[in-house]
Amino acid sequence: MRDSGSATARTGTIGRVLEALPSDNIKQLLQHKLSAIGLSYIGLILVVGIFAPWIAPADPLAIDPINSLKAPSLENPLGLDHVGRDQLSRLIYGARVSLIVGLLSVGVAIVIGVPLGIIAAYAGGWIDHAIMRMIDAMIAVPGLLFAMLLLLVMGGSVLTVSIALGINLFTTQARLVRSQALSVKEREYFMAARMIGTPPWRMLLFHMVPNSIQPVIVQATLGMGFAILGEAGLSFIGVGVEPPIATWGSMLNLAFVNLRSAPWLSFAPGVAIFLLVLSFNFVGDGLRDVLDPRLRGRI
Amino acid sequence: MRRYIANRLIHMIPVLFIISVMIFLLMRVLPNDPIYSMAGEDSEALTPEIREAMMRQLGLDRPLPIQYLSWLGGMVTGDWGRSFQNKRPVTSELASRLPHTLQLAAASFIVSLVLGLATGVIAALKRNSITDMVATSGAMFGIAMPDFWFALMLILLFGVTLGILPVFGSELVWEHPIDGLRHMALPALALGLNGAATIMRQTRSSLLEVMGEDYIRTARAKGLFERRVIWLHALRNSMLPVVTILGLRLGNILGGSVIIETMFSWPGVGRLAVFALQRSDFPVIQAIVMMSAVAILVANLLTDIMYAYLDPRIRYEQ
Repeated sequence: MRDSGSATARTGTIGRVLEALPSDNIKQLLQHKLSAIGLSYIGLILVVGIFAPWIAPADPLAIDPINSLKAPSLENPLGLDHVGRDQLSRLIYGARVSLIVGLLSVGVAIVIGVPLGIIAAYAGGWIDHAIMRMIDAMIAVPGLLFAMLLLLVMGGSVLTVSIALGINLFTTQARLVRSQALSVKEREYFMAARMIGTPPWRMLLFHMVPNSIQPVIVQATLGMGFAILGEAGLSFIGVGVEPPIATWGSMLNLAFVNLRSAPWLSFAPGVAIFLLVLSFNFVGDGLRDVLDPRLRGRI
Repeated sequence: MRRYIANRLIHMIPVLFIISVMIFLLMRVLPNDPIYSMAGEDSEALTPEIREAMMRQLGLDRPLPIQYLSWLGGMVTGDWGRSFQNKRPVTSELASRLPHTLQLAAASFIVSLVLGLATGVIAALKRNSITDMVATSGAMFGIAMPDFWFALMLILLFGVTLGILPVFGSELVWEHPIDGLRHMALPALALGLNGAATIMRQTRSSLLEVMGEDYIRTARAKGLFERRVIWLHALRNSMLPVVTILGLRLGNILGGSVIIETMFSWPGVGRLAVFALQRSDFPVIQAIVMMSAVAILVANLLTDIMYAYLDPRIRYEQ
């Protein structure tokens, strides 16, 4: 279907994906007030994460046992933890882990989920059947337990946590892409392309993938929120990113252990997780409204 | 319908088979050696001879396919093996913990359902009012709130500061009703909040959609009382997507409460799972994962059956 658009044929898949987000849609998205708020907050946290070494008042790993569990003061606005590490600095560095794990695990989910969904839909028959049964199996295992098990096997780092969470997330992506690709398969342009003898790889890459990818974008944004919550939960029960690296979840774990003697430790990391997840949900809802107007206001 | 159910049950077999192989193999690559975990602090005293004898006793010296088949055979015939840690049969270990998990799950389910449905219906009926705004933003907060942090705040407020509710352990409600409920209050609230928020959003949006349908206009036009229109016509038809959410939550009872059970030292299956994972207690983990998988698959099936019941147009005969 070269005749469909002059620029698209040349820019290939990525160009087509970007085209799914025309400029007026982005404007519409920004007009969506909550999305705009969410997006600016995510931007802020991104800046804080990137420039953490310059913003943080202290080294997040430097201990000061004499002043352990010190209450918030001018010098340490959020207080010190049980070995005397500055809470504020750890909070700032923790933004890095949350954002990186969020992005990486969604990336893992897309890299596994999209090809599986496309292949299942394109191939059909027993290949489709086998892939879908495998996905059914993944869904039937409790996600958190499975992630814990994977992390005990692989050890806890930013990368392994992202892989474990991505494996939890890819099933939704694969199912969405598959159902979208199945409908593409029935469209006239697809059949026409097949009839004029387009090679299979071209059919897949230039016709099926670009036309099936839209739900992936919305799901990816909502998946960020899920991944950030998941990372925090895993770190909270002590199988996430290994200490002493500061993560919001592990900070809450230490706050829980010292709840009676230092209750102030338990506020900031929780608020931080909550606001970031809320922001991603806002943006995800906004994207869904823009990309799929039929669903506007529904979920 | 009966054929459909039978068909679905047969489809579960390959899925459960895949899970069983996956979980079995993952357990074998755990870096924690189960023998060392069993020996605990005395693991330095382990000689190779003792280790070998223990491996033989646990059946871990046999080739993997044999181990797998004998485990699978046991699972099917009801002999789920013995815990490496305390040598009790896995079945009786689970039987003593399951009631605690189930009562917590039931309580949090009720919290989600009552809170979610009530606020969802009110928000939809009073669309765009202050009440709607408060309920809708409350639901957004509930969805983004990490449940363990919410639990932490509840513990801090009710357990530490006010000191009016217990934050540790569990009593069975049918043995000690008052004490059981007091123990359940905080964890059930923490576990139920997220569900309530999801159910609220879904109830509101699907009720609003149904209220715009022609048959609602017809019902009103033929002079039915508004209350009857809402309860009999609108609500029933708007429950389909809500049922999906309920089904998902129902299936995830065993796996969903892992963190909360650990926080409240709840003697349930979730906390057992964490404990067993850390000690490479193969038979316990494998049994819990298989049991959870069956729960999720059955809950999905029940959801689909419920669909057909709520919407007689849905038939699964084809």
